[in-house]
Amino acid sequence: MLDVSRVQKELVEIERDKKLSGVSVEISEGDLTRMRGTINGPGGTPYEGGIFIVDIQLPSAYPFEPPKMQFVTKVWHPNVSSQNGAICLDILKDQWSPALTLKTALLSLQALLSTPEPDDPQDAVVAQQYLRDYATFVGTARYWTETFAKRGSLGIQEKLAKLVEMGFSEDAAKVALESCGGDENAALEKLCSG
Amino acid sequence: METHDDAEQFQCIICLELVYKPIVHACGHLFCFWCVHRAMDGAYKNLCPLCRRPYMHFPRICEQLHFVLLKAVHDKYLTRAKEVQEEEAQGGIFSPEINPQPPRIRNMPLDIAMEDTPPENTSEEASSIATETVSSSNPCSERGSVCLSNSASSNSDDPNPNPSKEADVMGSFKGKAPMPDEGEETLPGGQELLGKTENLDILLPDLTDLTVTTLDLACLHCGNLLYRPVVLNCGHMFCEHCVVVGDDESVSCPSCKAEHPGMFPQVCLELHHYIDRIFPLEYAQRSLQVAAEERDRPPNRPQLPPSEPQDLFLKSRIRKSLPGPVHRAVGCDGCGMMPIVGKRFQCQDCPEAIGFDLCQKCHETGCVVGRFNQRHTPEHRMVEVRLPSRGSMGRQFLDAMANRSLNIMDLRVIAEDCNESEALQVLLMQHRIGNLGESPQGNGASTLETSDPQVAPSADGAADGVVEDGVREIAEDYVLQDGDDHHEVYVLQDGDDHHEAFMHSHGEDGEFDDHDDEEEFEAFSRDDEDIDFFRVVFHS
Ligand SMILES: [Zn+2]
Ligand SMILES: [Zn+2]
Ligand SMILES: [Zn+2]
Ligand SMILES: [Zn+2]
Ligand SMILES: [Zn+2]
Ligand SMILES: [Zn+2]
Repeated sequence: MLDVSRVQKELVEIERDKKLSGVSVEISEGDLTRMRGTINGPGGTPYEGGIFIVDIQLPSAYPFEPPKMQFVTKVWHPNVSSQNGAICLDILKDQWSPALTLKTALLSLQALLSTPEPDDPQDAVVAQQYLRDYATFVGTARYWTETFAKRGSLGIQEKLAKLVEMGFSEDAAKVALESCGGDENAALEKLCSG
Repeated sequence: METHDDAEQFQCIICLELVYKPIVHACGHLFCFWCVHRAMDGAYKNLCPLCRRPYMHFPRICEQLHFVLLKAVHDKYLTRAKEVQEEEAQGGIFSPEINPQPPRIRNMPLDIAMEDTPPENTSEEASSIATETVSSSNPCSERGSVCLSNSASSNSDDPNPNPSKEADVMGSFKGKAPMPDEGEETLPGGQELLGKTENLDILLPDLTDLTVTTLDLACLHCGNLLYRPVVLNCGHMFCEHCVVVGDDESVSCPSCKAEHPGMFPQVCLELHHYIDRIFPLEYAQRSLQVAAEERDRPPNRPQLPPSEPQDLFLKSRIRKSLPGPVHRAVGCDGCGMMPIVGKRFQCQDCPEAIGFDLCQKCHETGCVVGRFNQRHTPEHRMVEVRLPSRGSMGRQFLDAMANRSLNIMDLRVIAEDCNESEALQVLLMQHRIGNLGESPQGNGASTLETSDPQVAPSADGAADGVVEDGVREIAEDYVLQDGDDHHEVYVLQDGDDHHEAFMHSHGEDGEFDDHDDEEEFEAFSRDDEDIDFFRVVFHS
């Protein structure tokens, strides 16, 4: 039986603190077992400026069993599946403790974005790239952030169309955008200088 | 006396409520009775939710702290009592009754309460009175295993006290479920809660004054204000320096003499800060006093063990070395060991849903006071519960082994936690040699394709080595190979002719599989001439 009172207390605390913590949670209507978490991409990382949505499911034994969490927003990260958003994080598995909360779990995810653990990967391809070609990894991760984790800004397709409109070839524009992590101004500069 | 601070301070980190029926782990961390119980792993040992230090025993409620909270945060605590009472009535399992009168108040005239007198003048006198009172009416005796009934004055002359009589005297509010007025209970709303608190008045019949005194926070051993409080597995609370390590490194309760299993108790910092805040002067004096005492008599306290290693591999190693059969999800009502490892005894007469079980040690000492609200008596019949050990289970195991075509590569007995490993080695030796004639394959590691029970733990491949090198060679574990998977079997003995083998699996890469999900395990047992009890836990 889900400890409803505890979950409600947690939600109040998350709500009160969301400006500072950079994580928040919305519940699906009338269902305390299904929620959406959001994590602000940590500064100084390829995820900066992105807003990442996490699907959260609470098992009935919560908090004595860990919440199930999975990225809805696509993330390029060694410990997150680039296919389905599955997360490899010990506290969501055997290192869970009932003293942890949804907030601490989301904060741990945020910390995971800052410090990947490529030795314990969820996505082997990403982990390989992280270990062997860090620069490319950063570029791809930033590109994914721009493409999938930013609301309000132009979508990547629109940026591409804009550059093509300016007279650059689609391939060149794509490469430039990707290498600049989706920043259209930087890409434009690069295209002009190169 | 009731401040916002107090309620904040005694928050249980698991339910995020005011802690109710507090339990303090040996690491000093504080939780509710039910929160501890729910957080325990019924299959293996447990880790403190906060610091991850391991423990195997479910501690008793710290009643002294219960009464302090009842005063300090009275209204909120009663509300919690009410909530928990309703949950328990729904679930049909009840936490222990707590005698409605705190031992101090019942046993001690209120006029010697220390708070009105300057401690420097009378502390010696007060403490001697306190000590005397404690020893003459040891609060432990209400909960201890020997004299369940001698605390109520009406029973004190009764040479053969009747525990159920005592239970009536106690007027337990737990025992009322299912509550007679349950119909009204379904009415929602705070008004109802307030209206209902009169049901709980029996909790504190004489609490006219809700001021927490130094007497409420006196050490059960020295009688002084608790300094750096620690709580033992029996629920009794002492100054850190009043608990001493015995010559055999064991720790026993200075009050009820119950053994304190596990690590040396650490200071409950929550309570330490609380006492320091409400009695700053007295606490400072105690600090000086204790420092002076310890200068003359330096304490002999073991180091705080580290948190549990996060390494899964280590976790599974420790699991293997449990010295006896594991009774999953069954705890000992005497010492709190959960799960019970070794022999298990179950009461046939306790009607409570939670049952009444004892480990071998507590069965021998005849403990009668449960960890819940059981009304167990010495007259109740206790029966040993054995894990399935014959016939079909053993057959299943062997069939499973046969179907998997497992190769036995090696054999070893793990010596740690195994008192008579040499005897076991000899048995295994006989066992293996006895089997050699029955499976005369002779070359390489044998494949278990036979369903003959005798063949399971034998290995032709290692046979030559065994015969020539003798017992030493057998002091290994089994490594069974199944395709790319390895299965390790560790054989243990629990000291009683019982032998237990634990089997664990490696994946292709030699890593241990994640055995987190206990459902992946199956237990099988068999009896045969050489080994009375043989249990293998393996990854299905
Ligand atoms: Zn709690
Ligand atoms: Zn702890
Ligand atoms: Zn003391
Ligand atoms: Zn005790
Ligand atoms: Zn026991
Ligand atoms: Zn009984």
